[in-house]
Amino acid sequence: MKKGLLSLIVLLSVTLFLIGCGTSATTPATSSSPAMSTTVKTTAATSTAPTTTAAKTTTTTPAAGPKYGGTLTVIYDSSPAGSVGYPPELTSDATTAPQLVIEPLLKENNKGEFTPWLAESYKLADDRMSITFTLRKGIQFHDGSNFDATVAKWNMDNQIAAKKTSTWASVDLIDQYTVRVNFTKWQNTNLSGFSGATSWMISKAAFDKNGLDWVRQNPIGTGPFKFVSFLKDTSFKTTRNTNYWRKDAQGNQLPYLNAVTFLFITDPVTQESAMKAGEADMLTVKHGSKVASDLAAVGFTVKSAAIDTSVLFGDTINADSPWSNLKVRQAAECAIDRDAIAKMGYGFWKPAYQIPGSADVPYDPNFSLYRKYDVAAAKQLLTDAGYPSGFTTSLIACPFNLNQDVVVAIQGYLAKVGIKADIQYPDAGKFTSDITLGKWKNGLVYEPIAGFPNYMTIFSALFNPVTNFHPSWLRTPEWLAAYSAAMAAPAPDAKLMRAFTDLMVKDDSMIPVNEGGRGWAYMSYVKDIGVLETQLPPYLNFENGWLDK
Amino acid sequence: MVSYLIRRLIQSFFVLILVTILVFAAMRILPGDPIRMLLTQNQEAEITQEQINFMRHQYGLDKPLYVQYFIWLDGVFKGDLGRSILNHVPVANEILRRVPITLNLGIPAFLLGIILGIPAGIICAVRRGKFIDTLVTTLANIGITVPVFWLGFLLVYIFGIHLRVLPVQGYTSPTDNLLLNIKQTVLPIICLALFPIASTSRQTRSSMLDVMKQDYIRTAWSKGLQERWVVVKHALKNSLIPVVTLSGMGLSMIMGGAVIVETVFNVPGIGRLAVQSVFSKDYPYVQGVVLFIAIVVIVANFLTDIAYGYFDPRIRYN
Repeated sequence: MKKGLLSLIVLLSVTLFLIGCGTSATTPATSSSPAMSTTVKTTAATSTAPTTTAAKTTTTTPAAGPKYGGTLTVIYDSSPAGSVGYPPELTSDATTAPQLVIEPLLKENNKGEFTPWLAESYKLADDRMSITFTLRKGIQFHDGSNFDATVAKWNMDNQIAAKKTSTWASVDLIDQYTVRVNFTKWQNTNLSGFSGATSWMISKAAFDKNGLDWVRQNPIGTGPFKFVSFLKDTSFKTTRNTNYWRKDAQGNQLPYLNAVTFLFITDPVTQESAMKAGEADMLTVKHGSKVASDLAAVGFTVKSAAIDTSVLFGDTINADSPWSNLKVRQAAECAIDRDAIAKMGYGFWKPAYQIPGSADVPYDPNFSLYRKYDVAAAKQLLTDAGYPSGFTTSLIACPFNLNQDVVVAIQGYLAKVGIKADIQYPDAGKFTSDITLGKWKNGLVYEPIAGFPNYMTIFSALFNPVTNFHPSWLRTPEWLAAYSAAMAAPAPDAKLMRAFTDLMVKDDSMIPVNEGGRGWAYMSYVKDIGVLETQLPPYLNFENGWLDK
Repeated sequence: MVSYLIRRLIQSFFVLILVTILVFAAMRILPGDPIRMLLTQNQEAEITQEQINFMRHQYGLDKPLYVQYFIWLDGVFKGDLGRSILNHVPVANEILRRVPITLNLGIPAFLLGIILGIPAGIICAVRRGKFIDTLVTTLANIGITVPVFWLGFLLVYIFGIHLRVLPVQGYTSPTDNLLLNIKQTVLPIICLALFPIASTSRQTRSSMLDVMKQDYIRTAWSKGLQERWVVVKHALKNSLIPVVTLSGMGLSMIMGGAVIVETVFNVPGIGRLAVQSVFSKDYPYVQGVVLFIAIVVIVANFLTDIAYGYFDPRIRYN
């Protein structure tokens, strides 16, 4: 009896274990691999209807047109850590949800093209040292106050006072609907500043009435949705702005959706579970992540773009660092099998041989400056460099968008040629303090280079000689000249951007390893939301979005 | 008893001061700078040393460490735990908002540990070696060893995705929607309660078996008392002291378990606040949360001490 009971318990436990660890029962018979439908910018899963529930069925009946109503629930993978309502205090991650409520002067699409938004038009001065905006008339904030040049100047003055932009010198009020922003210097990333959170416009009247503390947690903008509530780590809720200033091409009032709710879920398994359980309509995904692959396999539409490239760069500033030796860097490039690493992206990644990602403007499909995987050549280069037995180094992994499997693979490849790399996983605080802004010795950093529509943006932030970032990475005079030329061009110039990124690959001061990026997994009934059409993947065109259900 | 409690209160005060010093120092010793982290989160902007210095001054982080500590401690005595570096929200407000959420999971889990764990242990002890003992002991061993996150994902898969009878994540206040609150908290509470139920039943069983061998229990049997009187009136109360100690510790362990459960089920409680604040180096949050948890542990120990006196009148506090 006792034995029988024990056998039953063991059997039950094993069954439960297998249920927990087994693959999803919702896999459709005809799902296709994401790799089958990879395009340059979009990796869309074209799998057919999932078998889970009717709610997820991807019926493709053509829609008659946009419909009003419904609540769109969006899962985002990090909660805003800081303010959600006061633009000078917004961090990059904190802008994703408030984009529903607050709007900029210009909007930038994924190609780096600008559309006047709260500004009706703009004119760059001939010397490119100022820009004049003519603002739209008749726009009201959600509290009923008017948007005009005084409010725009106040918003931009706040950014200058908070030292959030080093390129804006001052803002001049020209008339009730005209403002001029004077620059401290020209660089072609200046215009992008007017499409991001730096030029987000909030109500001055709300600020004057309620004070800074209130505004920090209560965004009052002009956007298609009005703020309802924000609970850190939980949700950001909005409701339709019935007085929104924009109409669609047929003259219908925008937006179509009744409400949009952001849920903040950090754990990837919980994110995936919530989507499969039908608790949300959209989920932000990393390009080449398991979650993206899993959701594509059960019929969700998955679109993500390879806008990031994770690269390796060593301590090249110290003469006694092995990484300051060109042959060592070349050996490291030869040691890593990037074709094999690309297979770790669940079919979404292409091998990364150049710094721009395959969805970035300066990406060169005919790029040929890289060194192929060749262990013998790597060992020979190390011997030539004076390290026949290899050497010991640190492999410091940037915690942002980190894929630990790739780091371990790099460690393995380097070990094969004798470079013993001790992996370090610093947290965000240590990384930004000790690595991004501090000096490291003899180490090798693995970090994603995020692509923006203007590819200069990330280099302006991370490798600009004015900033203190990555001081252990040597900026050669040749590189500085190429970088400065690309930055000073009147507009982003793919050729100039390639010139300085090519230099980094040529001298192996940066070794591209794998693609990255972001995108969305969503239900097929979510329409016209602008996935991957906007400045950055986390941004969407919520005002045009509607639900076909 | 009163003088003992006063003495314990004074001791607790010094323990709390020590905790504040340790946590304050630990956060500063750990690598990472919240200001640099705050600024580097915005990859679209250029960051200069001038900005870093400006921000550090704004947050008072350019003052000597001991000055920063005493400024914070002065605030604590006035009920002000400071403001978050990242979102500027008063730390005390955020903790007060999240404590009921964690308690909403923790108290039912704690009570389940007692309500189910003690009877299960008694039954095992009284029916030692029988079928029910084997069954409960096996289940208790599974309950002690199973990882909480694994159990969480398993429950989510079965009840959330496969059967679709319970939500897989989220939290709604019982005052907003009681039914949804119950649905959302069932799975996290099961996860949190499993270890207390299992460990309480094991401890009760072991403790009861010890007591059942005592002479006075044999005397009770020989007097012809019914089993339930022997067990409930004579054995149970005397076997509960180790269980009370375990339960006192269990209360603080539930706070620790909340960190994992709140992450798996996306519940915005105090555990998640603690983890995220440590990663983002938001000093005031970390200091506030650790201070709060220290107070909970001290109060739990206090209650345990008082309970000892009830369960064993021979214990007197001099």
